[in-house]
Amino acid sequence: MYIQLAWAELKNLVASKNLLLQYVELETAYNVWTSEGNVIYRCRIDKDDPRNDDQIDFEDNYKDQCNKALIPRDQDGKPYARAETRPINCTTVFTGVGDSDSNIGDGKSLTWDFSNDDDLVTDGVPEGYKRKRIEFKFLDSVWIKDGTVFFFNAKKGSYADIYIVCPAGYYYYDNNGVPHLATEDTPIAHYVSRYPIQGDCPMGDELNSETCSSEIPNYYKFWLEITVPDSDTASNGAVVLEMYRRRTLVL
Amino acid sequence: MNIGDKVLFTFPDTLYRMLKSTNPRASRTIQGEVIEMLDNGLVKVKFNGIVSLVKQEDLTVL
Repeated sequence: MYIQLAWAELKNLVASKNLLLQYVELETAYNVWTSEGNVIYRCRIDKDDPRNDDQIDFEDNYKDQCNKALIPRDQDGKPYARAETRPINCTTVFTGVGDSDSNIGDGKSLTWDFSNDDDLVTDGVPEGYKRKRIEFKFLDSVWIKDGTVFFFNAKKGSYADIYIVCPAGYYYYDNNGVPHLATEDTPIAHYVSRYPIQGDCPMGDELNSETCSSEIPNYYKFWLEITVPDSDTASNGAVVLEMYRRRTLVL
Repeated sequence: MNIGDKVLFTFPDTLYRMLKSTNPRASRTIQGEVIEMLDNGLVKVKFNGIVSLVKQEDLTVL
């Protein structure tokens, strides 16, 4: 399918979709085009003397960047293929800290220490255990990929959980696709479930996936819960998340 | 808006685009029936047999 455009429309389309511009130079004009699947967008730029505005723009700003291979190929003709989970326009981040309300990387630290009473919660804690809940969030949407758990002096029976939580006052969809307004902080995903930790793991225990999560909205938050036997007064640890996000600093 | 009214819920646009990616069964609009109107501007609506709480401002009476 061919779609004829003006030069201004074609160059805007190329910029907005990161397409590759192609051209053939004729005696009296340039035939310029780009393709997206089986759709070809094209235009004609006349060559005048003196040069017209479109001709000046194309020759001075675009021409020498055109005609790159749409599908890069090796010398034997095989196309290059690239597979990765990173979403377009995102970068990979390793973080041991959430964001604050206005800045990236200066929020809640993803650490725990049972030698103090910080972050202790009592909801739903099994008999004979105690639990810390580290609540954190990110300023922008994120895609969670992998993670590493570091821990020290963890007693037998200790474990970790991570939830994605819809805050009160925001919508979420249930498993039937029905929207609900959360009246309280509501866990909507439990993606690390009772992950056992015991002893020392200074090099970190990696939780790896070959893919990454769907986009997690920026108004959602996370709960990292560490549950240990009541007698534990010494264990501590940290989590580092590998994830994708659009920016790593507020500039 | 009254109890028994048929209503159309429309998910706020910017939120829908992101949540859609986490639940392929979700659609931006869904029809339901008003079950109860609360004093705080929230409405209980039955969607597909499931009672849900939503904001009145996100509903349109059909």
